[in-house]
Amino acid sequence: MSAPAPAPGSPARDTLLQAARAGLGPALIGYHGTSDGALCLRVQLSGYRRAAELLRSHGIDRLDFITCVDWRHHLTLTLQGYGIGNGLQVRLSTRVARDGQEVPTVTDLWFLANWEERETYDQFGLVFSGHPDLRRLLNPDGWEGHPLRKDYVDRVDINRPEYF
Amino acid sequence: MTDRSREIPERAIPEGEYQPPDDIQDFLINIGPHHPGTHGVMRLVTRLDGEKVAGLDVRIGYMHRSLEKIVENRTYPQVIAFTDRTTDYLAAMHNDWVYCLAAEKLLGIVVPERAEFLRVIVAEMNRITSHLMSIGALGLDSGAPTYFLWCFNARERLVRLFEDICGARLTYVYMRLGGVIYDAPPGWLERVRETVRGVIDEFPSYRDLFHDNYIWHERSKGVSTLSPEEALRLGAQGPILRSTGYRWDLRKNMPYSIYERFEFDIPVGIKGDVYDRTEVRLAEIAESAKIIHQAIEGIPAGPILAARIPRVPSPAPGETYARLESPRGEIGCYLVSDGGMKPYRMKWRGASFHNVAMLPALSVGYTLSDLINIVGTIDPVMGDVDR
Repeated sequence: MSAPAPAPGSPARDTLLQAARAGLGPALIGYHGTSDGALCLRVQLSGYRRAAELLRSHGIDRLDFITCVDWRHHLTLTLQGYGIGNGLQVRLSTRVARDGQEVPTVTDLWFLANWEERETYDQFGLVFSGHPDLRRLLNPDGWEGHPLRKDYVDRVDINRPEYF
Repeated sequence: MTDRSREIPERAIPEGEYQPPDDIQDFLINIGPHHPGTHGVMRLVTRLDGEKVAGLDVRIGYMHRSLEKIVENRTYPQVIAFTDRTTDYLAAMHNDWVYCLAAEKLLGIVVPERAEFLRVIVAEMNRITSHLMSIGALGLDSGAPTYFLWCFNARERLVRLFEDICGARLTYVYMRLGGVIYDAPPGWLERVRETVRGVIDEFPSYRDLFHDNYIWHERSKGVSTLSPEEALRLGAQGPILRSTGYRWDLRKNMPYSIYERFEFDIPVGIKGDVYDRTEVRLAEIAESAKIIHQAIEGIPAGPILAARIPRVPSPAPGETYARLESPRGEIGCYLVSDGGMKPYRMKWRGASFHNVAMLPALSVGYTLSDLINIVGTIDPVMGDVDR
């Protein structure tokens, strides 16, 4: 069994775009294509879960990453995946408030999302509602703060014995 | 004092089938983080039902060195010193390369031909050394330390060639934005060709010692079998996916750099078990040797670094993603720039991170000794998992 070489992606891309415009409506803020053939969708947070389901049902079966970028005023949650069958690469991004906002999980859509969301929670403090096991992944248990935020101040002295 | 050493108590072993008492429960055992079999600092909290693994919780983070935070305070060329040692240090060339691909996309740099060929040669040599390390360590974990040393002997010859071209044996910082930093010394390409051929010539003795050994077959065949559908559902990549029979390799399916010019096959397995994963890695060494041979035949003369790259490049605001096939699977680098001279955000997509996330799904139902072998064939490098 082998996978076909990815097509330039036009038919699959158009199908996905049409479905996104139809399914998301006003939640789809914008989209653009990158020079290497990826499709970038910007959605509102209310449409994030629906957009992820659309991606999954249109053949985006491999997840590259889920992460955040801290733009000081807000966070941007980015999810990227591609389809093995149709060669389509899609990047989905949405804006999230820095504190107090929960994001729906996509663990049931992609197996790898479990650890990716745990890492995003660990590094940025973004809570994924519905995640089966949301706890810190990389930083030690009991760590205070979320290190990849731009306003993170390292109050912990790593030389304290309890962190060995 | 009477000598009781020769007394054998009567009926020490009850007759008939052994019935364990009713209050025997599952057994929680902690493997790691300091353990020779986990390929780095990884903690496996294992629930055992007798000797079978009933549940597994993988705890990582012991090697987390906050790569992504550090590089937010380094210029774009300085990041390369971090990507090869903080991430997958056994495949350092591939990690530098994927970062360079991403940064070169952001900056719009075109890499000269000779540099592309040199990148392919050193990257495929790195794939060979990484696979030799992986297979050798698997032999060591399974109780074949001689094989481990044989693989390391072969690896040593290649590592000395790395030392000749860039001065380092493991973490190279050889690729730079726009190309590579050092050209091949005189005679180096010929020595690479001979050394790689020498490694391939040793394959019959490797097969004789380890891969065709019936003890290895007994230990590895049928362990942790994976179907292609299950592998795709779990998001498997690299040799793990290919061992199930699914032919997917980024060098062929989403080609980058100049891989389209080379003729090579993608070895696949049949059942996706521990045996097939090892066979796939062994076959990939032979395929890498083919690519190296073709690259050495076709390498042109010319510059090795793109001209006029500023010392402190500042790309325009934007984001990009680059991916490539490392020995462990698919690695990627997501770079976000805000127009400054330092990356605003770099997300490292490590192959081993996802491979290790799959570990519970691959190992539940198999015995504890199989678990060590399964971890060996997943071949995690904790630097890539924790960053």
